Amino acid sequence: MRIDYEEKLLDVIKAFGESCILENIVIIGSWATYFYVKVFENFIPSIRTLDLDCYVPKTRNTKVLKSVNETLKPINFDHIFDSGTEKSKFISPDGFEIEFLAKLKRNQNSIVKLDSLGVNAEQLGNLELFDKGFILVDFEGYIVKVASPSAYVLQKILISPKRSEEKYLKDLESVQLVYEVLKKENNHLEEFRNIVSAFGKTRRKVYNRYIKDNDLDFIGI
Amino acid sequence: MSILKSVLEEELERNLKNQNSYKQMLLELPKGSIYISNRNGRQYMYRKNRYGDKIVNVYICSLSNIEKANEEKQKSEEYARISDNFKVARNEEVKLRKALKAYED
Repeated sequence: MRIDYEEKLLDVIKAFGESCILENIVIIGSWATYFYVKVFENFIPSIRTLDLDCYVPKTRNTKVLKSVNETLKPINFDHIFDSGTEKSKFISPDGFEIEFLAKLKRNQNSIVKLDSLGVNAEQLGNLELFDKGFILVDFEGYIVKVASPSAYVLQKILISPKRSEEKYLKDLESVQLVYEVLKKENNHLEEFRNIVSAFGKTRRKVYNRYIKDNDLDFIGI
Repeated sequence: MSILKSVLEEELERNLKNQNSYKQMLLELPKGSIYISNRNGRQYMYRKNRYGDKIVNVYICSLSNIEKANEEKQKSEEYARISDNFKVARNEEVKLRKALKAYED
């Protein structure tokens, strides 16, 4: 089943690349692990959703050639706008779905309008980890910004208290899988250590609780 | 609960929401296929619809009204595209339900 979705992802990346949207987003969420195959030898990604999350670090002054809707329409995605939540997403009949996310800022609604992209992005906490926490991956000639393995793992840990039981377990499996490979590479382990050391009191508490509850042999703070 | 079961349930929930979105999009577009009639050397655009045993042709405009004719043609193509997407989503639902059945017992 996954092969079809990999082709779909390639179509999306190509389309985003051609309209210069790609340089303005970071692929986060479980689809990020798909790209780790290019980073870690013999890595097997654990993609458990058809939901592709795109983080938009800069919500202003983004320069693109076409809006997301104009970019995705030729590959059969439809723009869905939920008037209740004001969220927008792009759906494909085979279940593939694309959403845009932005970091939560004080004095702002939970939705931010990204005019040049023509979408409303949902603002969520902990996403600023990806402002610097991304890697560049060459994917079929397109340079894709992908959540760095360390930022990926740590964001999953920080959002864990708010996850449902099913999602918590799904995330735990993915967190363990990615940590196992990142710890073997000094540069990634160093990045992990740096991010964790910069955590404030609340984040440290969440992190320590997570590794204790799940009996994980992660770097301690 | 099995992780795979929860993944399937999540995808089914998403699929049902998407089907509703497609239905909503279809409601906002005129139903039926475009039909061109030639009369007295002139061409007229109609929309053809089936109601039970009856086929009803509804007049839209003369083809000389290029702007309107193109607009209606685009709407008709959009209806067909979304209708196909709705069918694909329904087939996906069947597959997901079938896969979920394995977890029922």
